[in-house]
Amino acid sequence: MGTLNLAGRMPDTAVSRCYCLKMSGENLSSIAAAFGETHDAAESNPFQDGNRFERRVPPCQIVIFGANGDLTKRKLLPALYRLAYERRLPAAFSVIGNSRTAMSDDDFRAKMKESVKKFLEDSPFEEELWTSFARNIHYIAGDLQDPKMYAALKTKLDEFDSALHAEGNVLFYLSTQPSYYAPTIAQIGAAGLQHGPEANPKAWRRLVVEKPFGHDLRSAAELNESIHKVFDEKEVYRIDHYLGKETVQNILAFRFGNGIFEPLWNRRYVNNVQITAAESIGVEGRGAYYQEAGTLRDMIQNHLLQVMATVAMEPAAMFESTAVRDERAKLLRSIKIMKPAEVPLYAVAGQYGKAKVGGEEVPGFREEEGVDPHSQTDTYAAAAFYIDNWRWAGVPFYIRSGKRLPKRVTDIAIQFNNAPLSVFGGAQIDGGASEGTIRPNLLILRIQPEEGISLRFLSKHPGSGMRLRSVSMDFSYGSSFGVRSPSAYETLLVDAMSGDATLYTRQDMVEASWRAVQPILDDWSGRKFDFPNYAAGTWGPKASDDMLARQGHVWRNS
Amino acid sequence: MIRAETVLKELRQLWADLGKSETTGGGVLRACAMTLIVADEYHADESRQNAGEILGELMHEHPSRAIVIRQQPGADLEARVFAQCWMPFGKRQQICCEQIEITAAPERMQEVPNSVLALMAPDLPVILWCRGPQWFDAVGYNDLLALADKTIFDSTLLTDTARGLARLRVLRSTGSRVADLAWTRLTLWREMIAQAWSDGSLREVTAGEYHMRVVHPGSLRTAGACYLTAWLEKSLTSRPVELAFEDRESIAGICSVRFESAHGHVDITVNGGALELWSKGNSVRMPEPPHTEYELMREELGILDRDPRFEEALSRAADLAAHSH
Repeated sequence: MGTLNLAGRMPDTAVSRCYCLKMSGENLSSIAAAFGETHDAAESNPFQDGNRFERRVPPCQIVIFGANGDLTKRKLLPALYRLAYERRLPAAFSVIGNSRTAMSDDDFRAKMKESVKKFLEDSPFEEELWTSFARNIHYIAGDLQDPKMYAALKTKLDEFDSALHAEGNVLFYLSTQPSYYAPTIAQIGAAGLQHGPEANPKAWRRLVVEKPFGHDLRSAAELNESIHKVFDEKEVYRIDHYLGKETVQNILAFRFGNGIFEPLWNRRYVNNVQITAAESIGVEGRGAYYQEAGTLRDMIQNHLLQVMATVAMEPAAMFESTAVRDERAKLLRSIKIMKPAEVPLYAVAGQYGKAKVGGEEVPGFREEEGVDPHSQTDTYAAAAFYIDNWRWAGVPFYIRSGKRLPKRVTDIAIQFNNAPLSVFGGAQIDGGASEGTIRPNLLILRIQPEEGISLRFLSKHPGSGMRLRSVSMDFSYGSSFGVRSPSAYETLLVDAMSGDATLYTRQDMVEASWRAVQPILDDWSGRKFDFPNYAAGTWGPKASDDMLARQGHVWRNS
Repeated sequence: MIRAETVLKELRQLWADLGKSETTGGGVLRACAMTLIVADEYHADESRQNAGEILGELMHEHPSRAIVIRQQPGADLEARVFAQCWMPFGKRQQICCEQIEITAAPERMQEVPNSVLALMAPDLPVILWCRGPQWFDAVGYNDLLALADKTIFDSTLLTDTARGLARLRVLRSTGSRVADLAWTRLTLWREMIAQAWSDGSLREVTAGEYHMRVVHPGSLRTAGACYLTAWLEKSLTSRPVELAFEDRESIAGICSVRFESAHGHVDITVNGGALELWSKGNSVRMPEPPHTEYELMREELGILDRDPRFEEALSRAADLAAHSH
């Protein structure tokens, strides 16, 4: 048996520290296992020191279906490379990519190398590390519906498993077109790949499913059914990369780690919550896909409702996968379902039209490549959701998302009730929506691009007299934590390989969020909109402002 | 003479100047997550890295207002301010941390803690890094300790390990949070032992009657050997550990650790600058991490709360060191 080396580097912010695992001996399985700590073992390990020992990924192989796609190139491989760079990957680790395109292992590696170089964020590319990492990247060409491909995959998995001593652990990653999810899962089941080798009863097989998870409630339920024919729910990791973002995770730390905010976090003090996910770009060549999805499906049903659940959920008894997901699920189930007649009042669809933005002509959605010139797809969606529980009854959660908005920003603004009585008199207050109006206190959780937290409050303007002005107190991640944050995919991949599903969505969560948007989808599918209804580079259609105005609110300028 | 108002005004001016001189267009970000007081060594040891350089590296992960105190015979009590800046990879914005350097003659050191008190960043944790062994007996040292939420020492700098660990134990018993870089150096040893447990090999060996042995270099027990032994005893419900010595290569003051029983044995030994874990005829090899002060401090500053595993080990380690004599 040869020698395996896995070299890794500390982040560029630190002096390089390289650990190399050199393995020798006839039976490497116990050695590989030494660097893979399962949850069970970690929990009962009397030597464990959570303050200092990093969680290690157990030996495993990742099979990526749809490996020639954008997600693999832009996100998955760069994330895995970065994990190798930070020496987070086990020595016994391999990636097997699959797509229909005929390619050799070397062709695939060359392609992935270019992608990693191009899409690696905040990190330098190291040739030597890549060479070591790429040695265990392999490729199988084949049709997802062809049983022969799965037979070949099984052979490769067994071959690498025995060479690397990956202990039979395999993570299947579905990064294909959504229509292939169910057939692929069925083929995995038919080939018996969902079970580890009999000789190793502790081996695990897990399935990561990318979004979109269904295109409506019914299809999501059907997909769940297909999955459960092959995998147990506990083996299924439905990815919502928003939950993997450091700043979204920080919402939980902020809420439940601090004593001062939670007492205010309810209907008594919070007037409304606004969640904005704006993009300044258009569909960028994804017109054909986007036309089928639309913003409500692409952003709100999954990412933003998960963010809303994180903002509004009850504290879990402990920070543990089931407990946290139970609370998120409970919140999603508490969303008040709109009646058909309520949809026009509480939801707005928009589509951008052409405009001149920053001196440049920008096409409308219907002029984008691959888009039907009469498309009824929403490139903007806004909705007001209410939560039927004691904490939030009556507090609107406004969610908006869109393409070709003025800037790229994702944030959550918690607007507090005004002071019950202004002892200073309205005329002395600057910066209100109109002269003399008080600007309410706002707590803003900035998800991207300037990650941080701001609190807006009134302060006395310097000078004689009592003139008040809104000021902002800012916390910036960049200034307090100089280190690079891991990307969402790095976090989520490590979690899936380590068996931690806290940041993944569960069947009941997915179905509850579909249930919340289903009335809107039903209403919109039966209507003919007068699109385009907002110009590129603006904050969306006027109807969206009107929706808030009817409830006495205005969208804040994110 | 140090006037806190003047120093703080100079700091404000420093930031204004930095902002004006910034040319990249990305701006300057002031970063501060703690006050890091560095009680620097009395006499510059040229083999050791300059404290300023270490702070420059540490600020990437642990931005702070650093207050470096140096004793210099005949020096006036004075302070000067400057900033250390860096630009994260791929960003245009500079991140800067402020540094205040205080020099004083040894006999005027008692005036320093009051000045430091006024210069600390408000409402943030205060860490004292005691970089030289002479500080233990310095004038004003106890007042500096009182300012800190956590104090970091390096007992390997002391010629008398027993005395060093005893003092740390006393300090800990007063409720202070303390850390010892001699413990920090053991992380790789401890991690390999933990991994051997996860792997199952160590569990197998320690399932019944077993014997543990820690070997250190030289006849005097090293701080590392005392800590590791204490930690093993605590982790395995007060099982006794044999402490022995050999004239061999060591890492962090330890040559090898052996667990042995009728079921087999697990060995971790130093070999060619790396740790090797041997179990059932197989080995895992991990090179010695660079135990630079930067690396060690980087790890310690990541733990601002209590460090229960260290605290558990400290008391017993001090006993073991005392019995070395």
